[in-house]
Amino acid sequence: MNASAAIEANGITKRFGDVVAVDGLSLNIRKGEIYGFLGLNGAGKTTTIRMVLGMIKPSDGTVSLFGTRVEPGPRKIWQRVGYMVETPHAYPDLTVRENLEIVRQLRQIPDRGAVEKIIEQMGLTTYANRRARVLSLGNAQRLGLAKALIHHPDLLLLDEPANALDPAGIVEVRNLLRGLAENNGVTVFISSHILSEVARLATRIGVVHEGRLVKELDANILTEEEGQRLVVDVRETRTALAALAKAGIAAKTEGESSLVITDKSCLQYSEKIAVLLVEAGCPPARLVVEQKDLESYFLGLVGANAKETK
Amino acid sequence: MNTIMLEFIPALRVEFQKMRRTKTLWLTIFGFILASVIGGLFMYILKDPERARQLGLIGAKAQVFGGSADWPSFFNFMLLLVSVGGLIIFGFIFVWIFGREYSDKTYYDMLSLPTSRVTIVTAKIFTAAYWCMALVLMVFVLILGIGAALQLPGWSSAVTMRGLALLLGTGALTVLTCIPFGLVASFTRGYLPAVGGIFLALILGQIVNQIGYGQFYPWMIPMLHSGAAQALSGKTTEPLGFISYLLVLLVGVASIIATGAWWRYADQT
Repeated sequence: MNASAAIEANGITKRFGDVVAVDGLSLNIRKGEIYGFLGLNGAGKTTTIRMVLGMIKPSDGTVSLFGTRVEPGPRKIWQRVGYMVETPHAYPDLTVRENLEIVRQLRQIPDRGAVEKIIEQMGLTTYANRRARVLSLGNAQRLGLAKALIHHPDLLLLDEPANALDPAGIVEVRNLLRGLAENNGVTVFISSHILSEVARLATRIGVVHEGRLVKELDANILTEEEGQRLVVDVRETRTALAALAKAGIAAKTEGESSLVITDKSCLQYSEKIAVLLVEAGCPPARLVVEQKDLESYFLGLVGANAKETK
Repeated sequence: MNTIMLEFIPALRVEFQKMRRTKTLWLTIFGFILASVIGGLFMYILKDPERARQLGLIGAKAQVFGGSADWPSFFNFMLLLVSVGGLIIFGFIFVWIFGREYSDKTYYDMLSLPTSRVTIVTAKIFTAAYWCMALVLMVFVLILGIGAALQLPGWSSAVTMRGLALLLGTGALTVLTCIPFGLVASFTRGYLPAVGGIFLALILGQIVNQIGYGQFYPWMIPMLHSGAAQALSGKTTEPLGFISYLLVLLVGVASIIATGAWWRYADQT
């Protein structure tokens, strides 16, 4: 077990009857990282989070948090973990303050002022005496985050934390999480379907598809070479493809008149491709280095994987 | 204070907080106040036979259950309500305490905490038991108040103490037989199947009692202990033996263990 890892999952599998929800998934989340966990609906994100939180037992494999194995017995580890699974829920008849007081008691937080502090931090002061049943979705989300943060955890697991928040709220939560990671060394594990949000926030991204972790990448890689491609528009794609192949350059057609080249050396010296195509008698009408965003990267990855599994 | 108590007291405080703020508490209080008022009304009617005859059916039924308008009859009538109504209302209290966590989806917040799930389950059972027994004591106070207001004859400290002992005994036995409904609510993640279970237990009890095995059917034993089953069937039965009480205790203890184990080990999806 690696004590320097905030989350270490080794080949975890979860079967529900004949259905394999998670299939031999391994994770190693370093302390202080903001890890974005991406996947389509039903990809196994929530099942993975529940296994990490000890809510469901893996059929195979193990999970450790800060070097401590997640099992039914030991409880101390949960003092260091805050979480919000799926849509946040609260006791509808109790006020925001009372709901947080319940969490304070169950988390055994001796500081009685912890509730007021988190209410203020999450901008819930106006709603502190309001019953949870009448809260807007956005404020219910804030309450869910307040419950996850009240004990200053070292590890935060959040399932769709930006859901239902207004644009200002999203920025606020993003800054809050980034601040927690940068200033307090908090590890954040965040699953979200809002890809742009994950791209802005995460330092590392894992893509899960059909229960398997299909790719892990550093978020900054998307702004570097791996996220780039050279797109060339030509009139005669067949002639251009043959000319490129003759020069040992792999290219794929995209649409009726575009060729896509991902070879790193070509990306650096794109003018050579232009010369080569002019000499072959099919001058490019357009030649551009495109930056792949997370969405196209994700869809490309998941789409490719879906085809492979078929 | 040891670690267990350090965990248990906050968990108990949390459950009491939830109990105080729910409408279900007021519904159960209202239910037993209404039952006590109805009991008082029967006594009022029975005090005047002429009036009872004028009222026809209601008067006839009051004769069957209560017999006469005095303190022992009033206690017997209220024991009937506590043992039969208790199974329904106490059962619902257990179902509500566990089932609401699933229907409100708040159970997620209770799973990955420094406070163990077994402690939380224990606090829930303790709160439900406290709630039920407080209702029994409220009924006792109401009996004293209504009986005094009606100036019922036949009061003595012995009659009152016997009535109190039977009420508390019946209440405690009913509580033990209601713990499984909390387990059913946890297992089925909501209210409905567990509420169905309460009525099934009640109906089966009547059948089992009719064929003469009521003393071995845990959900019938509180009614037999209180004398309510005999009043309902019109039959006199032998006093309950040790085995009957042991069966009720076993149902209660086994349900506590099973509920704790279910919360601790089962997948909480």
